Amino acid sequence: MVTCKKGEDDPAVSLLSRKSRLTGEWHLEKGSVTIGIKDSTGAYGGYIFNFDGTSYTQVYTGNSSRVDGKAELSISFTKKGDFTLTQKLDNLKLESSGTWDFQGRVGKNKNKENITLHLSTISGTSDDFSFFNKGNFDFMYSLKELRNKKMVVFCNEEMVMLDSGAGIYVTAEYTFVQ
Amino acid sequence: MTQFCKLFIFSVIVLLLTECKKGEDDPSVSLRTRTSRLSGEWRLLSGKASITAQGYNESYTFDGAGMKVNVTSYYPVVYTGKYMLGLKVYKDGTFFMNENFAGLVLEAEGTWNFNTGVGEHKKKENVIFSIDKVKKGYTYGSNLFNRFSVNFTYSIKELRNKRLVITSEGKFYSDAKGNYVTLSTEYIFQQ
Repeated sequence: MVTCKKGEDDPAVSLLSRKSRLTGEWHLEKGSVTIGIKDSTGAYGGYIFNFDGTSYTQVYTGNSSRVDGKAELSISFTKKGDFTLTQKLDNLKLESSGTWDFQGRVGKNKNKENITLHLSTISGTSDDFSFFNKGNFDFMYSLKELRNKKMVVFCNEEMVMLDSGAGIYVTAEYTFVQ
Repeated sequence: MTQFCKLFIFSVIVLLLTECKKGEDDPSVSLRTRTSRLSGEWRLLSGKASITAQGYNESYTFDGAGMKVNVTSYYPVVYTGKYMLGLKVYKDGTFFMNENFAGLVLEAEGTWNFNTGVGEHKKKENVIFSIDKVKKGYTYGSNLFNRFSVNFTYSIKELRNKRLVITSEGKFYSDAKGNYVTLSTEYIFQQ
């Protein structure tokens, strides 16, 4: 009847299943996203976004220029495996829905440690790597902390677009509350 | 021990050792786990793919070495070319793919995993691939198997010792105006 710890900051034991804890409507409390761009020599530049739930700052590491703006992010999961996602970044807005599932236990991964999401419908733009879906229709996050009313997801230097010489990588951590 | 007890214990052991059908064309029962069956070096036997946008369609058929492409638009066109695809899946959760699409090569490696059965899909019915290293080519080009993405999911239609049939479908591009492009694929592999 109990589910044991999977993510780094999970409760040691929970009476609720991981699916039950994930289900519900989540709103962004804070987040950080680094979009790293590696060129063919390995040199690394990028943009660093910090979110506080209603606004964001963006710093370009090349010249430290800074941009401030409004941002919102909410995601709602159902037990049936559906989700809806809304993200606003200034005047860009992405409204989408799709299906979600946990990943199993193959290789180094613990069972249900990661979540995969697939977008089926999209309204607005999704081609910005700073967005939750990382510019992709299929994307995933590791669950660092999954509690009844708090969820922390992250990805670490995940490649979102790459060729054999250069690439774009996303490192992100989002803290949601219900 | 009674005959009934022996039979009961034997039945429990058999149930623990076998895996039941997940995909549409899976064997009813298999003594090998899905991880064991999926692991190995797979070579493309045949396949098909379709890219559809508003008023436009590219329909591909593969025979393991080449492809035929039917383009349906204002002027229908037929192309032929080389198409080869190899897939190595390892038990430790890593994989390697090598796709040659009319000379455009994508050699990439990464990790794979099964789904856990949330929603409509059965547990281990889908396999999720994530590319984390590209040795040759690029992930967002003309290569189809990775669905123009670093993360891509396939439904396993048939998983046997020496035969694998996987399918995928869905959008891979959309813009702010609501235009979108879909891709559906089916690959038949053998070992």
